[in-house]
Amino acid sequence: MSHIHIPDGVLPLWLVVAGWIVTLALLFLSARRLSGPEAQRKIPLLGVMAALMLVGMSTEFVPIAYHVNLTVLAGIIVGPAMGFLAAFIVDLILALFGHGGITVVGLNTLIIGTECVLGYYIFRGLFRLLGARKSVVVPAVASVIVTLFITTMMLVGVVALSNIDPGKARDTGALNITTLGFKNPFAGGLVNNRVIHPEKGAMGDFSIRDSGVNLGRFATAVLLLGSIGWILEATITAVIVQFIYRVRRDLIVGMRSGS
Amino acid sequence: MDIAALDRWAVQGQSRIHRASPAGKIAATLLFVACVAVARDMLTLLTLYGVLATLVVVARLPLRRTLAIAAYPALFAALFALSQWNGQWATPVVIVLKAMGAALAMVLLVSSTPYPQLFAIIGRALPRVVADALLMTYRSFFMLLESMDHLVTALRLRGGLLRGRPMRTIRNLSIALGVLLVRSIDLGQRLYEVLTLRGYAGRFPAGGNWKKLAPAYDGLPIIAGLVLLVIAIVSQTGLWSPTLALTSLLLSGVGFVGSVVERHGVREPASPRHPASTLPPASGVWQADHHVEDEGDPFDHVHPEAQGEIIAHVSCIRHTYSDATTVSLCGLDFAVTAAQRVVVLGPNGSGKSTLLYHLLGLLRPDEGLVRLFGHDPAQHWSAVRERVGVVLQNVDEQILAPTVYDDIAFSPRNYGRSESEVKALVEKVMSDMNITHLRDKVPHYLSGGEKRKVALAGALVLEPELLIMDEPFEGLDPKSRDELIALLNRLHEAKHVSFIMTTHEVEIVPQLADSVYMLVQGGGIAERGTPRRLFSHADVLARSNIEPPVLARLFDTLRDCGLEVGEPPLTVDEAAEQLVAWASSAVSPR
Repeated sequence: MSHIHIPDGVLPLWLVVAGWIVTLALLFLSARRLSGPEAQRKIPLLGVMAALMLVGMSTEFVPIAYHVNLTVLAGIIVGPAMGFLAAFIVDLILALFGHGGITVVGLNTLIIGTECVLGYYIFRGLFRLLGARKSVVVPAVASVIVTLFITTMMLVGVVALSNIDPGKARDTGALNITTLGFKNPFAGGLVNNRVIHPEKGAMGDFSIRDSGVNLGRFATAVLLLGSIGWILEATITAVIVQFIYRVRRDLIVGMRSGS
Repeated sequence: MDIAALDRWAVQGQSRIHRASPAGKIAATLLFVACVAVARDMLTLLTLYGVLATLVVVARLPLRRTLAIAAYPALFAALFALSQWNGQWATPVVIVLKAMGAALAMVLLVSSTPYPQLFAIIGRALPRVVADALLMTYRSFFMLLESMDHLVTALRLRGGLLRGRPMRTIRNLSIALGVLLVRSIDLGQRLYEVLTLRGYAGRFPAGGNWKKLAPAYDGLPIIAGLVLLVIAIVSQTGLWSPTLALTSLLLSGVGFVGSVVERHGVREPASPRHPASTLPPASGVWQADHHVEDEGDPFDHVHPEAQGEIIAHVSCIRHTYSDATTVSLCGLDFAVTAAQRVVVLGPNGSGKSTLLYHLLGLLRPDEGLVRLFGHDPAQHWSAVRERVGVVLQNVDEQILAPTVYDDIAFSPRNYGRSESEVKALVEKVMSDMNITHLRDKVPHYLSGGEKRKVALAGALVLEPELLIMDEPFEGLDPKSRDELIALLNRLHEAKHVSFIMTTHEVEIVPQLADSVYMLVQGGGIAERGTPRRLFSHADVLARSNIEPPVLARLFDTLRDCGLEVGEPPLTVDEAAEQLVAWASSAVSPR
């Protein structure tokens, strides 16, 4: 539960559609890198990695009822492109049984996929930096913490973007049936948002009174809950990476290409 | 999170919701989700939730458990609701209800529609690589879940999961996941090999009859979805209250009628007649002795209608694995003629799998010669692939497709056969193997014996001349094992199929083998000959660390006791005959 799955019905339509468009574009780009004979070799690995992430999510860490995502680990093992594809597959399957919304698979994939991509690069960078000591624990922990912090802030950003058009039915995520069309996010609402223009309000207080939302409260709750998840995810990822480093060092992508 | 439970409900359910077509249910679910998107008040969303709960009952799903699964996103939705908090409860409650309503619609869909059928439709909109990986994920998930269950059980039994020591527990579970990850990578490699052997060419079979509509069953969920969407739209106008009252009444009626119809049952569609089998009827376990009488060259022991032609040949190969382990298979040449049944015996690490993997072209020898139908299989697998069927040791890793039919159809589809030809081939092999009743079953719910038969059907569907099997009897109970032996022998008699199989079970060798090759520890082909010749020489078996069959040991012991019982028999009937003859001669007056 280190990652918050965006549920259905809480975000405006334009944001949901934009998430799908960006995700599908990245999906097709990543899939193109796996075309031809190479795909034949990679498809089983991709499927197995996505399945492993699902198994991780199905495994309850007794007695604290916590489950892992293994997104950073997936990035470290299969690399950024395949990690992104695996993230999409996992999100789609999760959405099919209500564990995260089906309409927001695009946005959820962008967030989880970012964890795979960033996790890979941060781990590899730190491992190179600390290469002389051959430590995998520090890069693993740091890559998870940094990555999850960034993706949690992305989540806060998504909520901030969803508050662009105050005064419409959007405050409950509802589609306004009188307009139906997409709202241009740059038409006026966004530039009036105090998150983007902090001079109109204190940065410490994200309260946007005219739209009736309180981003600060949301951010506080998410960061508080999330930070517990980050520590656990970082601990578990570090133990797994350390184990793999001892028994199958060749599996760690960053090491194959980086050291 | 219990994906396995939802999958089980979807596969095993028989309600009218389960019988609705996947396309119809997806359409209904989209209507429900659209309703969630449009709705903006509690009453509409509660109506949606109530209707969906009614459909859950009609689908005969466990209501409390289904609602509990669908309630999962409530926590996340509550977090998002915080951002909308304006001092009134209405907005956060609406947000949470929306999330739960959409989740319940999805849970209803996946617990009444097998995943493969959903993926078959969803996959149409995705890149081929992603669509195929989606199915591979589904297939791998159940294998990995089973492995993880075993690892967790082992941890529990060995004191690795202790309530009072959470950090130790987390560490142990993390290591279990690490072990699973390493196994996953290996599994991915093996699945790739299976895909190669089964002719994968960018076309994964997809979900059985997912295209068919079922108008008799599709109506209920689609009408419910349409009505709810109308309610959600009208709820934003002044006509809201009377419309809601009227439609709620209507939907309750539809739900009630659905429940009544369901309780009284819907007539099952008539199952198609099974085509007649083209194989001779099973007549118990086949006795090998009428084939094997001579002790000479193994090439003499071939099917009378197809002698002479060598179809597989391996000569003094050496292979070095990535971990620097070297396996050498020198000594005698390994040669198999048409319609010959060959068993390879040997201890662990003697190179049995290495031998098979070279024949299948999955390994390329550093030195030596490998020929299959005159070709180097590592270089020209495509030239021989349709003449060779393969059954791997772990058939779970071989069965890839979502249904039995699709799995058996995997290779012919990938080899470009027309759909009508594929259908004819699959129906025929299923009939031959008496597994037509498994046609639409999901493979991972089959028993071990049934899975083995499905894997064998997949290997035989193109009527290969050679069947290569790695430990085909491992994990089978005695009854399933005897059935498989009988089946293989019927195939051999009717279609003159050649076999190459590895096994540890010496007891069954006489029933199945014309010729036996014995490998020794560290690699090397030490002996070849008929089962009778090899099993009568304990010293030959001892060189390969193989225990003689129990009948051979019994007769050796009897001889050591001074009884003149003759050569060790290969079968129980033969042993009985010899013992009766000995007893008769012993009691008769001299």
